Amino acid sequence: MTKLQFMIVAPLLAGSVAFAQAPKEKVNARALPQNNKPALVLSEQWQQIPADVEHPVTQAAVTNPNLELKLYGPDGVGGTNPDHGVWIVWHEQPQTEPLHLWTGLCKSNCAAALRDKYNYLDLRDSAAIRWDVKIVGFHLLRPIIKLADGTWLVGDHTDGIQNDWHQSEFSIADVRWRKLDIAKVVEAADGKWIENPDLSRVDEIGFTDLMAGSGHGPGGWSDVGRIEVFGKATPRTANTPQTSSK
Amino acid sequence: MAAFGLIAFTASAQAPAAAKAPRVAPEDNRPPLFFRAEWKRPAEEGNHNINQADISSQNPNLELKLYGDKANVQETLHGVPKTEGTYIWTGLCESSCAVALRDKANYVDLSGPMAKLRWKSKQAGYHMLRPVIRLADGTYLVSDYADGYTADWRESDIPLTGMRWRQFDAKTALTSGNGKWIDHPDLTKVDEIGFTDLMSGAGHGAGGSSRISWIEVYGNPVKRDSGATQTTSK
Repeated sequence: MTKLQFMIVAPLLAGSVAFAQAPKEKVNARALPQNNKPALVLSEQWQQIPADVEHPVTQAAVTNPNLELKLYGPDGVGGTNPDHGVWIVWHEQPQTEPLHLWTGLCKSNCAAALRDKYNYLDLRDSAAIRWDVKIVGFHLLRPIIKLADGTWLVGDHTDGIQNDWHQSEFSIADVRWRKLDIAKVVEAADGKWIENPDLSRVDEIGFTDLMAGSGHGPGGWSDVGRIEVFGKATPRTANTPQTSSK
Repeated sequence: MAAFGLIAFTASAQAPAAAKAPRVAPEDNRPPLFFRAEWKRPAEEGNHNINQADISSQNPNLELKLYGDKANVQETLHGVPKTEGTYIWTGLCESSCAVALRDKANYVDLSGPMAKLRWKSKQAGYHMLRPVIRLADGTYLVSDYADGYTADWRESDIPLTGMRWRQFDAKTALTSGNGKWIDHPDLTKVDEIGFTDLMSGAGHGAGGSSRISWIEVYGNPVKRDSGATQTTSK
């Protein structure tokens, strides 16, 4: 092979080798995100005790013994006579309808959240929330979280009206946050976006639609069935379960 | 063959004339400004519960209507920024509230394809400002159109064509009814036009509220049945 021939053939040969290797590298790179899908770290699908159609929701509705139900807002904790607050509902028909929390009787803004007694949730990276919901009227369901330092945030992700129940899954990394005044369940007074909150230790996670319910009938409210959170569990400092003071 | 050629030639010869014929010309059929509502500049900065006297005297036929937490809708003026002017503010509404305006002498026909609203607004937090109307039969509707958060004031041009509506409970200022969309309401005689964000305010500060500097309605006036000026009982 002359020098000229070598100069022509060598780059072609090198290119050929590189080309032959490319598919393998490409496959490996694409496989990575699938391997990093976070684990299911919180799941709740509710239970109806007592087994009636509907009543104000309490801790008895929670099936997972590790989880605490937290209700917020001036009318979060429900009652009867008159009916108010967050309720748990189970209809025989339609059978596809899950047991669910219902905000229709909230006389003012309300919110519900779940807290794992043993673990904070690490919601960085590929963490996600999946919930079964049905929203009526112009209500918009949003995620809320309480950070380890006590800060409450409400997300810009919304699930709005659809004719039937549907499952919604969204990545936490895509959500922008504002501070939440948890006492009133309204946006906090600073009016700012919280661009990079520390999601490594999330204390509670839940939902609100930032609106009062329109009462019985399909006027305007949010239904929330099963809630699942994908992320990492970070043990709380003590080994014993911790119950929050609120 | 010659006949086809002649027909084709004739059609071709007529084409330029047809092109000159007036098309349906929405540009020439835009409805007039029915009303523009502004709020009088108060003597002092700050905010107070809005009332009829706060409506600009430029339009004495306009009645102010308040719904939901009507006691806490505010008129507000800040010295700075100077470009801001006087506006309605919902931040102190402890439950949802709504504001509407009613021309005492006329309904407005908003059924045409060019009917529209315009407003200058600024929303904070997750509040979303929506049009509200009251039809001649007393039905209240709230629209799926919504203006959300912006860092600064903005003017919105809001066509009514294609809007979807839901029933609105004037007592609570929330959605109501049978849960169905009202897709083609009769907008030929609209009694009141206004706005709501369907939410309680977040209080003082920049947390969550709606601010409305002015609202304009473009539609054709329709005389109310009686020649006399009518005032609603509500």
